[in-house]
Amino acid sequence: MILLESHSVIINDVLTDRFEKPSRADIQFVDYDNVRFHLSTPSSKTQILLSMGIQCWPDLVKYGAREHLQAEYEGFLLSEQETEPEYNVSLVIDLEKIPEGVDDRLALISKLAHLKSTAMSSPFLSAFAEQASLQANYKDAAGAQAKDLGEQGETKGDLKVVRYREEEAIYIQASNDRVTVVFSTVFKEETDKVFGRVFLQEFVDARKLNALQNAPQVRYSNREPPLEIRHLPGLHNGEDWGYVTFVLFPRHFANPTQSQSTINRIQLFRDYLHYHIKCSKAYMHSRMRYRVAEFLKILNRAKPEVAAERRTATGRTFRTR
Amino acid sequence: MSNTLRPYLNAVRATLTAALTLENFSSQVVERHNKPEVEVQTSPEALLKPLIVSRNESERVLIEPSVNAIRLSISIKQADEIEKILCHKFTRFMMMRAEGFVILRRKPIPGYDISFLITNFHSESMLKHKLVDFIIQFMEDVDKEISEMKLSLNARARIVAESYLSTTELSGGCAGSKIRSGTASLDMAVENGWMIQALQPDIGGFSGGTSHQFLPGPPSSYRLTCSNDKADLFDFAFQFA
Amino acid sequence: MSEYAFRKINIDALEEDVLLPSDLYDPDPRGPDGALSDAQAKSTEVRNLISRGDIPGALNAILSDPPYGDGVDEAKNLTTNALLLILNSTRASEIPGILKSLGQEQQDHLMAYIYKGMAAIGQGSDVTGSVLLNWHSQLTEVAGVGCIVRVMADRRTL
Repeated sequence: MILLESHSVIINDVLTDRFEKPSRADIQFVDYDNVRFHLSTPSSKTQILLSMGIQCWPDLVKYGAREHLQAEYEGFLLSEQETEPEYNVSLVIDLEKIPEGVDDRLALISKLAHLKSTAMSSPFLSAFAEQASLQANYKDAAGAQAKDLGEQGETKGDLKVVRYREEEAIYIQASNDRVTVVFSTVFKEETDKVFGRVFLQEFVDARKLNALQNAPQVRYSNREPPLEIRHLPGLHNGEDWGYVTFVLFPRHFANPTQSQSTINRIQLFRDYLHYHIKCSKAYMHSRMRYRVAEFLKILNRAKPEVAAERRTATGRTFRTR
Repeated sequence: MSNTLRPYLNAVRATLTAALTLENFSSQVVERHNKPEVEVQTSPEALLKPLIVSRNESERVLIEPSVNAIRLSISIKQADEIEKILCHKFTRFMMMRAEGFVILRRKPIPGYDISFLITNFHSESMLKHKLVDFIIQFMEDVDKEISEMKLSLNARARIVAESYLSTTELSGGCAGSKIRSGTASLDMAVENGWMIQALQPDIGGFSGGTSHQFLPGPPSSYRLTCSNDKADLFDFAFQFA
Repeated sequence: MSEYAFRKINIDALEEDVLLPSDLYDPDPRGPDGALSDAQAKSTEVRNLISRGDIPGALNAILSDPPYGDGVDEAKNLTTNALLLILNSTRASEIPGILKSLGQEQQDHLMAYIYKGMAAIGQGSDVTGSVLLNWHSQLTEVAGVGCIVRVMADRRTL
């Protein structure tokens, strides 16, 4: 498994099972970035309540997450008053009202399993929309006041900040010809830091391949935050911090399917990076284990073999002293 | 093996063989104690002259002989930050298992990466020339291991970055590969053979349990075969390329 | 804490019959000044011999009665530099012949200087490790491991 899946496997499996045969459930589980889920059947077997608690919910609400979820999960989403306490979003699925066809059911399950990524995609979608309007305005204005704008260079939208983990955040900024996404990430350990730098460098270099010419541009910097967000207060400088910038061009979100898969991919970037750093560490560890075992074998060769017990003619054993 | 490594190891071997002339020697200070003199350093008469064998600034071996123990410290080549951290991890990993390696010191002496302490009891219970062989083998393999780990890290990083970006782009292209009709095998142009080798142990991991196999195909490519259906193969190759 | 400081005093070092490193060998009979002038004379002689291409002669001269012990650092440095110059300017094919012509004591001294040269690598010395390693392996072949043991056991630091 080289790429991470953007949906929640647990939701997927449990719902597939329950759609076939309703039964009781009370499951609490988590997803990346401290997202908590609670799947339960509080009133009857056929009423499944799926709640999600997400750390950066206040940020997401600011960028229209509630409206976006309302549109996506029409008929399932509970209002804010009815939301399960300690969670941010609650959906109710009535098993008596789900569609009959196999394909429809699969589509519904997949949609519900993408609850987290749907919630997280609202700032991206609003940035994409903002970019489109900026581009349109830019074109209109370009005819009339080409001179002024030529000096001004480009127009920029609001900087959107999503603090998806305690210390780490995603910064999204739309401008007339692109959307810039900046991730800040912290490497807690010396090894993670070095490995992270190797990985990030490869992200930058990989784009030089012919096959990947159309991929978003990637830049990374450690120690200092990139120019786009340098003015923000409370940013960390230092060896442990890494900043990764993705530059998305309109071709990356030209149609809804494409923009959705771009969003699904990009919001998992931090998890993807850290997942593979951990994988590499695990691999190194297994290698070291093997190598050390080999060394031990070589060292044990230095121990002389114990002579086999010798017997006298009558079958008694004796020991040389 | 490079040309300068061989004489270096030979010099270490000769020096170590010469130094491993140990005898039982009770402490001169405390009655009924028997301590490695090179560690306690109580009397200059029980210590011999320490010798250094070095190949360049970063690779050197310090051999400190004494009457009943020798201490051998190795400084391992570390060209950059990655090698430094890998070397540190590896030596730490070994030293935490010093119980098994009876001759390994739990802590390196300052300025070196790893230290061994061979006492007269070790040289009595083990074959001397095999002990020397072990040290030489260790020095040879540790360099190799570190550079291999570095290569595999880089290979992994590259594959990870490329597969991430290639799916972001959604062009669905797997450059330089084609599915051969009829058989579920596929030729993939791969820049370097070692990339495959580096990944070989991992393949089981990201192929989701189906058996994929890399076989040397036409020049500068590797053939990928798989027991499952073609769609799965393509999926895997796509992620891999 | 100061009242416990006395516990850290190494009382063995204050004893009258304590063994000092200097008790283990007789000092250089020439004295520091004699050793220095000797070393200077030898170092000029070696340069002359090298320019005439007489490597065995140069090696022979520098390896007989080298300065040792404490207080003769300058003489030691001069001798070491002269010797490393010889090692650097010898063709690899000539080494075995030259080594065979040396006496046992001279071989031991040469081995000691090779180790000294290797210890100095990375501290501003101009010899490369490969030259010294080559000499080391050739010398071990000629003089055997015993030569290294004698270097370790020799209390007189060159």
